[in-house]
Amino acid sequence: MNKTELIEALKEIAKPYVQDEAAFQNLTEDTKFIDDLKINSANLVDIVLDVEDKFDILIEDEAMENMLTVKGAMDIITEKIGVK
Amino acid sequence: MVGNDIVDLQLARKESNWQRPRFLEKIFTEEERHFIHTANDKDAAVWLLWSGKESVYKIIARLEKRRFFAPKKIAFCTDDFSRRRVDDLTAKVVSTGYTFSTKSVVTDTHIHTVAQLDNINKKLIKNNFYIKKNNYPTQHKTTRQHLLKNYAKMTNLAVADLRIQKDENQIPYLYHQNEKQSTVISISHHGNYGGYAILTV
Repeated sequence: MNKTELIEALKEIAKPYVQDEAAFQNLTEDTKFIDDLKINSANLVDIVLDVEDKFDILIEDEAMENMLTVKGAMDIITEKIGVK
Repeated sequence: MVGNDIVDLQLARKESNWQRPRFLEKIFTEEERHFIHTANDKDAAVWLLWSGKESVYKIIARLEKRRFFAPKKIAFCTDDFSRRRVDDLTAKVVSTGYTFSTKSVVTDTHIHTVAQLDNINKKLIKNNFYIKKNNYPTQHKTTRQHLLKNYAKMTNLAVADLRIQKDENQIPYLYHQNEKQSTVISISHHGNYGGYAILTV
């Protein structure tokens, strides 16, 4: 999976929780889940769990601290599975 | 320092399935999960503790000027659980040594929690209210209007001279005629409910 595919996969995961469609359409690595997409903070837990399920990884509490942005999520996944 | 958080219980039931595998483990300590599993109303217990953690987190983010997602770092004191004083709890952040008190208003429809740190000699005003239209822009606008109106009344300042602005860490600050105020404010909205807390010297 390359970077573009990874962003697409995260977009698909975030989609059901998004409350700001315009920000979602313009999603980039720098997009913040809560501040930009207006995702409810409790749903951030769902995103963490969805990422774990999708990529078959375990996100430890320390790694989860940085799950506030698309980039943060990408870094965690990359570190766990390795992305080209 | 003050932070607040509100949960619309009906919306929370719709938005979040806390019975999903691993959901509670990501957020709550073992003791907190025990409290939830033995509560009469498990749903209310989940959102009570969640709103407590969120309101405490808002204070930490303000103090440390950074954002993070670590709900388990904020842990409630188990002594309070045995007393079953669910509306009046103490939370600690072990790594920093901070101790917070959280007070909650728990109703059938919503839970509003206000967390405080070093509240001596300061005046706290808190409020929560129903918002008829629950789309995000309306929630956002209505909650700010409620806060500004109340603050204007308290201080005899003109509402038109007051505004709320968030900094780069999304921490809200109160401005009067473009001058940043020392008053600490916290804003929260979720679904059909809004809430705020104001701490003045």
